[in-house]
Amino acid sequence: MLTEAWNFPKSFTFLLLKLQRASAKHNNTNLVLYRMSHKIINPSTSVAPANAAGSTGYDYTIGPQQTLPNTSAQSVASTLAGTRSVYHESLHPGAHGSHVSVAAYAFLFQEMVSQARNASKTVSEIELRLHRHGYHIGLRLLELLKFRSSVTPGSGRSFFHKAGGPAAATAGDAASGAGNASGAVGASGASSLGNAQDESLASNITTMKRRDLRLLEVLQFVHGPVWRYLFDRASDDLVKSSERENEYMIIDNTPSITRFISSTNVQCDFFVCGIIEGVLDLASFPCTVTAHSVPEDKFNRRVVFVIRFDQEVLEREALRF
Amino acid sequence: MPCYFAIIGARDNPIYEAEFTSQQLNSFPPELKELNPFILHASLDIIEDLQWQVNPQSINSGGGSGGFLRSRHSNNNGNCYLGKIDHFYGLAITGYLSYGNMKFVMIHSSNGNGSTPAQVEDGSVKNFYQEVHELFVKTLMNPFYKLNDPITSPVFDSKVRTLARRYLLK
Amino acid sequence: MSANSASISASSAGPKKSLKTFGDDIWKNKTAKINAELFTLTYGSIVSQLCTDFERDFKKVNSQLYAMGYNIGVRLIEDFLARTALPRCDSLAQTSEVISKCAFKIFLNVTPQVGNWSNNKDAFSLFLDENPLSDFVELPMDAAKELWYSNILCGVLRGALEMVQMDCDVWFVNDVLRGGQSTEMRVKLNRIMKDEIPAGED
Repeated sequence: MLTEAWNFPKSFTFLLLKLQRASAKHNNTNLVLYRMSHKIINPSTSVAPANAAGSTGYDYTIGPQQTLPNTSAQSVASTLAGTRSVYHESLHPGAHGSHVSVAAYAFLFQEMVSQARNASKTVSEIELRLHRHGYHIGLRLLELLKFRSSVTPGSGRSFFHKAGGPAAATAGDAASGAGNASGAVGASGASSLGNAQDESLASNITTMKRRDLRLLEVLQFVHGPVWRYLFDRASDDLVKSSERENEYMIIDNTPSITRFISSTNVQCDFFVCGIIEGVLDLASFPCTVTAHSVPEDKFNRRVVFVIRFDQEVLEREALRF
Repeated sequence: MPCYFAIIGARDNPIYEAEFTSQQLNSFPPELKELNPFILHASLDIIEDLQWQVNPQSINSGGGSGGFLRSRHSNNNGNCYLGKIDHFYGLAITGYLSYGNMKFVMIHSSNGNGSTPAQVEDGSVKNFYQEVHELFVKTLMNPFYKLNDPITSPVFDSKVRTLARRYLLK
Repeated sequence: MSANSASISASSAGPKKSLKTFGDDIWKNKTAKINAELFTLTYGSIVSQLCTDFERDFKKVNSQLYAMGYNIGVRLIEDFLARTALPRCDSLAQTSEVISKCAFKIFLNVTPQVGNWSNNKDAFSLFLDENPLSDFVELPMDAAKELWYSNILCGVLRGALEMVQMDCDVWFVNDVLRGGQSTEMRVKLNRIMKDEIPAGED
């Protein structure tokens, strides 16, 4: 297979030119070497189609697998139908229970903090651990919330009706306005759950929400949607530092997560810092976030989250916009 | 038409790759097949540039290569789907960026033996990307999945191939 | 035997229905709520971090989750009793109903099914049709045989029941995450610590 590929010197020189372009831009030979090695370790793109039926998913040591989508994909799908998988769950915000008690969360959070304490030797290590937990969540929130907000408002309801099939739809119609409406809807919701799981949200999306390109856009996203998702309200303020060009502040007068922790040693707000940093980092706005307790007369737990963007973010901003 | 699809992580590492082919629609000519990862990686620079364009699609379809592609979506201002971003000997390359800037890239080959350039049906290609994007979000929701790790789930694989059948291999 | 079971059903038939309304009411009107996904994500982060910390020794992860749950349980029971003001249960059957229809409802907004009673009525199972801890979770291959992802719940029950003088063993026997048909927790009452001084109070 390899030798056959080398028989096309013309196309290959062309390709080399492209790769040179790549190396010029990145000024990083490793990168290109990686891109080269990808080819070298990867001569087996022509996996026999017969193997594909027994495919166990993407194997990065082998490379892309070929498949005959009319046959094998179906058989793989059917053999996997019984296995529980995240891919059978719906991303619809109503697909799972929407709330748990604050008490349950507080207990869990306290235990997370004491677990971090026990596993750490220094205060900064505890903070680092809490930060890491937040970061883990922040990464996920960026993709999840943006993706969800791309769904046109109102299609959520049709989502469940459609999934429920004709039976659910008629039950809903008949019950609308009647006394037993809630019961009927509940029943149809339950019965449709099986189908709803395989229904994608993407099919309800006409235009994806835009990726945030500017610093202010992405900060607004944290201040608004992210805060509302976490704490049921937008943050109290979003301010640009007058002293430093790369510094912004998100202000929370009444932080709700950390109010259950009575500790002076550990800044549990590092958890929230981690969330903010995770969101911004993944959106390609690398930064460092720190939390500072700045009480004001009415709000004795007031916290200021200071976001310091890396220099490259400002440079890009200046260059692009 | 046969397609080669990959999701590229933040470290330029492929976290998922697949070839979509079928008996009726030929597969990649063997000599090109080996080059697919190359061609695709070469287009990453273009994506990294388009990533920060306000209207990546309009720039693209307005450019010199626009003759290939009549984008039906040039007026909508979404910036996840980048449209056709590059071409290479009759192959068309399209791109898509997730919110976390995972790069979704695909090489579309023409039906025949390379005599006619590959056509990109923007509407269905965009739908394909959006559906795969959703699968990716689900992958990410799993607490055990680490960003930029290969996606090895057979369910993901089979769902992507099902989507390819629905949107790409008509 | 039949008399025994009859008396249990008789004693639990009364509060059975009211317990459900009671739990629903507290959840609806007297409980501060928070986004369930934040709860799910936070727990997910905790478990995956533990798997890293313990270098994928899942038995250790299980027992750490259990220990964390135990710590929660011994504190949670106070909050629970204060909010519900429920009297002492006079049978394990009643306890099981309180756990399912009040405790799980009030804290996690789910109501597991009670079933699978042992012949001498000293053990039962809780079937979690919904489990807010494990939404969007798929166990990695190496964890699928050893990790009890939601093991923290066992610790919580163990700790909480101990505080009301019930010495119980609590463990998972099945989990849909591991490919099981259902998610089943087993609760076995060893003894009631009637006249004992609670540990650590002498």
